[in-house]
Amino acid sequence: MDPFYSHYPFLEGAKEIVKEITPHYTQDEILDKAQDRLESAVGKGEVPTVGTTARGIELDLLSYAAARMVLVAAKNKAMCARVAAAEGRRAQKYLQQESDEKLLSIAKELELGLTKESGGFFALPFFDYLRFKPREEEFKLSAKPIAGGVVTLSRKEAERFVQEAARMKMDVLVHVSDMKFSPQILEIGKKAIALLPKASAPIENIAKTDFPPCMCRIIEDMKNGEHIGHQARWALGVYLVRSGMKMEEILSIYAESPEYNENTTKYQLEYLKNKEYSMPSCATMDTYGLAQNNCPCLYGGARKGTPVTNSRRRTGITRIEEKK
Amino acid sequence: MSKEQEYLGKCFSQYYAKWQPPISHVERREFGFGNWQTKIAFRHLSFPNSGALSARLMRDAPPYVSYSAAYYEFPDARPMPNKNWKGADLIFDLDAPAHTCGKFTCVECMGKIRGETIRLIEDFLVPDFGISKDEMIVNFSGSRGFHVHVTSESVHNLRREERREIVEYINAASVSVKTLLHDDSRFIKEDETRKKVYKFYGPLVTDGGWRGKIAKRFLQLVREKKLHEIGIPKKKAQELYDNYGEVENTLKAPVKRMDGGVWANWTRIGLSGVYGKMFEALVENTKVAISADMDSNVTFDTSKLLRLPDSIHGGSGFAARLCNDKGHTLFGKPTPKIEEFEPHVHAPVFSDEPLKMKIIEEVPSVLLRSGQMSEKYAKDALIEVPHYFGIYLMCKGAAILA
Ligand SMILES: [Zn+2]
Repeated sequence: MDPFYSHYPFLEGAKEIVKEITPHYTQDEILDKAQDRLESAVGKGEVPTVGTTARGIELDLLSYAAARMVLVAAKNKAMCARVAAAEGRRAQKYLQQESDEKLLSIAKELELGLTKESGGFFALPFFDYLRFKPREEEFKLSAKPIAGGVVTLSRKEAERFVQEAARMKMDVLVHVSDMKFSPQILEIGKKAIALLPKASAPIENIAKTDFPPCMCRIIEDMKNGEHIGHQARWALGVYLVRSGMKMEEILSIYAESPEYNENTTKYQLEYLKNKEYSMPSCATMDTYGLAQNNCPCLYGGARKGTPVTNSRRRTGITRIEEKK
Repeated sequence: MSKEQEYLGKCFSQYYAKWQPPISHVERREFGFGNWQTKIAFRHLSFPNSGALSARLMRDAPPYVSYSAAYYEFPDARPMPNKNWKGADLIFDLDAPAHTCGKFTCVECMGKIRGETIRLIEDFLVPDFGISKDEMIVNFSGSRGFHVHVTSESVHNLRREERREIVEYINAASVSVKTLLHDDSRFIKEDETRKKVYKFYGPLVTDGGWRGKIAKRFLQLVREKKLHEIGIPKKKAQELYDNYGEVENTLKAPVKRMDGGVWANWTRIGLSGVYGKMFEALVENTKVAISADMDSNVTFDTSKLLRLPDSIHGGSGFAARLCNDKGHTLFGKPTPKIEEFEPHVHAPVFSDEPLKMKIIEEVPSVLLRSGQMSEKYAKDALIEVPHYFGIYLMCKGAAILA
């Protein structure tokens, strides 16, 4: 059996094969493999590569499909993000060995307008570059040869973009409201969620009581691995350094994000602290689209105060001081 | 409201009576109006079509009119998330930096910011990003700068981070000299003395992106004899001017570096050890200074409102006129090209009828629509000036009706 789709099970063609081979296996066989796959992706951040027997390849494909089902049932964004990243890395191992033509056809299915150039180079349209840009420093637009709306990439960079496009495709939780999942599937989901890496100090006991709804929302989004905008990141940073919390406490909040990097975060927070930025007002937060409707800052249609002053009013705690 | 504000309101109202907004999708934009105290006093306004907008402007004659680069499903909904963002044009806001001319923006300041705007379009948007001029609207802000709006669908769904990346490419915030220049200099021993042998690999003029930009800019500075702008001493600069052909050949000749990369051998330009410093200066000289300030940036904060093109700016009485040639006219007058655009000549929209005024604040000599310079006026002077110029002085708070 051609293992192609077991290498890239997120491609459309995989669905057909899954439909075809499902009757050949028992549900327990499939779910056991799915559980292994998920627990490895969530716990270790990696998905094992495929064996070479026909049975191994088929079960591998089926385990991917079943694992997707578990993700949908579990409705946990953080888990979905972590699995997508792990599956993307696994796909990259196979991409390295593909011909240029195969690489291009996979890119095309992922809506990446990659084309082949002379001299072993690849070309990517500027707007695709921005949309699928990996986070590494080396992909800063200013470091890349760009001309006429096209960015020139090496083969290795092209592979990285295909990996990123695959990750983005898998980092989407399909919302199904009327579907019933078997208790077995829900159980696998619960067990996998328990394996998500934990930050040392849980934030819940502080956040739910002291923080205003706008900050809770940003933290929630961050924890779920959602891409939070620059302004949200900045506002949260200013809020936290103003809150009088210890640096370790603040870092533990950021640590729950799947993208967390201690050094970068620490550096950014120190920067905010030294610059003594003032907290944006709740009215400004509103124009950023960050304010929440259930916030005590709302008085007769207008927003008063800042998230810092409003945390204090809400809870009566004095620990959070507005710095003059 | 003062007598002057009432008078200006009447003039603005007449202006809007025959006016049509030069933007698309009016029904999906948010609008904001200002009053004489603040530039955006009311926002979250929406209009079903251009006609409804001009009718409202004729009725209310607000001194400032702003609109969203963003398209919304419900432009008047509050708070912001309820509007349901559907995309946004890509906007660049270029403003002349502070200068002694203060509120009477001088010709040099306008010339500088006009040059920056042209460089943004000609050196970045068109050659790098592949955006065609047909996909852009360029307009005078009504005050001290220009706005560039990229309106094509390809930019509509850019996310905040992507817009930010674009800004940091253009203003060089993300450019690092380390990726542009390699210093392979080393010491060798010659006749018992240690001697430094310089070796610098830098970009080729044929490179794309910032690399090519830097090489092309350097060559241009040699050709135009402007090397003083990047701190090259006179004598050395003259040497390079005399050998322009050789400099050009050097920056066009690909050489392989040890790591396999293809570069130009900048050592041959003969600047011994100062390349790092010169490259820093070159980056400064090549970038377009768009502010990336969190609180004011209209490029990545698509919830911000900006001046509506062709509307009147209450701080000058000028129209925020379009200035790229796409066949657009304002009351039958063709749109001037940005290269020729002079706010004091092209942006006044009122008549030349004489108007009697009293000066309440000293006025420097400024450019008139005729191309001549006005007189300087002292406080309390009684003057008779063309209607459009009187409106300018009233908007600046420098004169009252006599
Ligand atoms: Zn000036």
